[in-house]
Amino acid sequence: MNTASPSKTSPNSRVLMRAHALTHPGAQFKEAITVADVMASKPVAMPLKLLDCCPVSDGGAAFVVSRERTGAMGIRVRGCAQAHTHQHVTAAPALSELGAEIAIARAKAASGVAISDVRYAAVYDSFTITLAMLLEDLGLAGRGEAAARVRAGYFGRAGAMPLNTHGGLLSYGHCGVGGAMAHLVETHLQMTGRAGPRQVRDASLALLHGDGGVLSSHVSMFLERVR
Amino acid sequence: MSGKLADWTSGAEAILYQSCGACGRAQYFRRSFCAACGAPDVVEKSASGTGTVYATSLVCRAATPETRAHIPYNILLVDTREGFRMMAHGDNDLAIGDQVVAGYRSFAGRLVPYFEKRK
Ligand SMILES: [Zn+2]
Repeated sequence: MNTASPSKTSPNSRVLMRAHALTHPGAQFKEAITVADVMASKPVAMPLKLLDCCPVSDGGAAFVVSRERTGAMGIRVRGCAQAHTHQHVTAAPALSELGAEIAIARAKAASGVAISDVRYAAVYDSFTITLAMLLEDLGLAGRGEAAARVRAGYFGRAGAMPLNTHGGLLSYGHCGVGGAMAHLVETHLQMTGRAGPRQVRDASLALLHGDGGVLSSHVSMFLERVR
Repeated sequence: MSGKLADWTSGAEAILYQSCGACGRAQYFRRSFCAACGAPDVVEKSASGTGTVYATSLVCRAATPETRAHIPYNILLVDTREGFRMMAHGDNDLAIGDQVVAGYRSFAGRLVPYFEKRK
């Protein structure tokens, strides 16, 4: 439920996530879609339509955290922070004061990293509107500019800020906690140069953002590749 | 000991909220303390049932078999006159900013607050 209008802001992000999913053998969805397909999909909870919503998926994700370096490249946590403002949506602060902005500000302070340092982004994308809001709250797009940046290719594999190159929750799939863990798995593959045909030019510094509840609980993390 | 007030969650036609004796804040979810200032002296009160629509979403896909007969139905966030925000049902043509008043209807076998435009 939201006072913003996703029909104006976000079908493009679903099309982008689907395009990314087509390049991942493990993705749930294998067919390309258009903005017209998103707009023509059946209504679920207006203004959200079926293709604005992540699927209900079976699946899983796994990663191993080791103290010792396992290869030529390692990944270091530069800084991490969280914010929890509410649980039920009736207790949420104003849309302009959500926890993502608090978490990212704290993570920047803890790490000394600026958004302009980030080369790869992994952002929770349960619904098209969630992704648009988080991109703007995190500073990956200006207020009201997320849709234009998606359309311009900014978040594509070859764009300035590759985003969820596995297809995200929206198209790779959302199997609960494992769905969000897949963002981290993909980030690690990108950062260590093992993403195969999805490999981006430079994923030396990544931003992960997770969101739980109803925009309730937020965690922002900066990861850095070390040699 | 005074009698406990009843509300729609137990089948009574009423909306209850808590008011903080220390800071005056109103909260909808019942707690043994004030979520704003932590004071333990929250008082249960009955709401007027009037408010302003903050958000709406028309639900077109039933979440459960029991709710299938109701679709499409509108889910609202209402900012009440008393100062707390609540989720509720309401007329399908309500819009953000509408002044509304609560009645009560049966939804999937339970009594729920149902808002209509205030005349
Ligand atoms: Zn208080």
